[in-house]
Amino acid sequence: MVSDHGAAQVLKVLVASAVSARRIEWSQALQKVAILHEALDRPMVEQKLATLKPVILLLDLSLPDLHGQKSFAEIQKVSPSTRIILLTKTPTETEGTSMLEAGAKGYCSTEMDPVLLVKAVKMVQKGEVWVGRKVISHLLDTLVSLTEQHRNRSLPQEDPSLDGLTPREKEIVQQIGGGSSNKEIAYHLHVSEKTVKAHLTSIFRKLGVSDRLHLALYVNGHRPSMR
Amino acid sequence: MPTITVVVADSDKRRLSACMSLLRSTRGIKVVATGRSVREAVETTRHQPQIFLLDLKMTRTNDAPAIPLIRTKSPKTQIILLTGNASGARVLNGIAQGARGYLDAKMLRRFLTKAIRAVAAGESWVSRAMVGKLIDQLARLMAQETSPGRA
Repeated sequence: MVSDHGAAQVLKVLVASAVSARRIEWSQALQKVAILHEALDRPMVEQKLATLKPVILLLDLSLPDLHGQKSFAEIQKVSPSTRIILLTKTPTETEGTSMLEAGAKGYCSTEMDPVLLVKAVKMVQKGEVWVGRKVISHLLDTLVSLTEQHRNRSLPQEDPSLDGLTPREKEIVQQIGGGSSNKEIAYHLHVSEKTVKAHLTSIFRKLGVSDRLHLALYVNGHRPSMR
Repeated sequence: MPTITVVVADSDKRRLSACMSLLRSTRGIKVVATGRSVREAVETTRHQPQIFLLDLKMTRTNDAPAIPLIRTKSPKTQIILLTGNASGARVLNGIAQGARGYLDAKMLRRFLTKAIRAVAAGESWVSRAMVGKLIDQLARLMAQETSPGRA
């Protein structure tokens, strides 16, 4: 068993593309920093991954028989320790985000400057991630909307047992369910804390709960099943 | 190129004035308001600035949730967090709430105007190390998804 110590490790890189010009370009760029191996198709990629266990795989997404996240996961499974950098002629923010989420350590253009490619490989070797700025922005957008979805999921939007409440009271119940304080709710709804407290008193009475903790429990216990 | 409007909201007086003096002399960037508390910060959203420099301390959850408030009141405003030696978790949380970047106090001189321009242009300003954490967080959220719509 070879030790995992980065310093003593030989940087083994598997370059996989069906396009010979790309294999040559990438190999030339990396020849000074890595021991290179090549693969021309998917079976060869998997076979070499299994036997060589390279540190890094540069994988051209135009390789035949690659189908999105699923293929990626299958390839990753052959050698889980290998860090995979994906290259595509037409990088898109959505594909980049979904591939990173699946575990890719890099996502870039096949036309990338060889100097940058070396930098990317070194970064990924160090355990960092290499992606373009646009992909990062998209990643942030996705993260924000997922976080929001997640938060909303615990809110009782269509709970019929809240029917007796006014729209304002429902808003407040949602926020209590999400863990907000009176002060936060007041800020959010642009009213005073006193007003929030008055609403709460009315909500407690209508729902028959004694305090905000019970309200939060009530609300979260009545979470609607999503889809 | 049109001027980028900026609000600086910082509870740290020295950092606030450091930002001000860095931006005062910068062409194409104009500070339209400043604030020293969350309340003041939220009030400045009436200027609908393009960029909001926000003290990370002001985003604490036991206080008012500044980031969602700013985003609700001024949807086109992009937030950049001003961090001290902040923990990654809190920065991450700020980004998950919608901040588009963050700057360590030590980096202001070198990167403040660059970060403002990048974020105003629709990009983000986060370190590579943070990108890794964001991806992990994203993957965690994705894993919790039931997501019947996705193949």
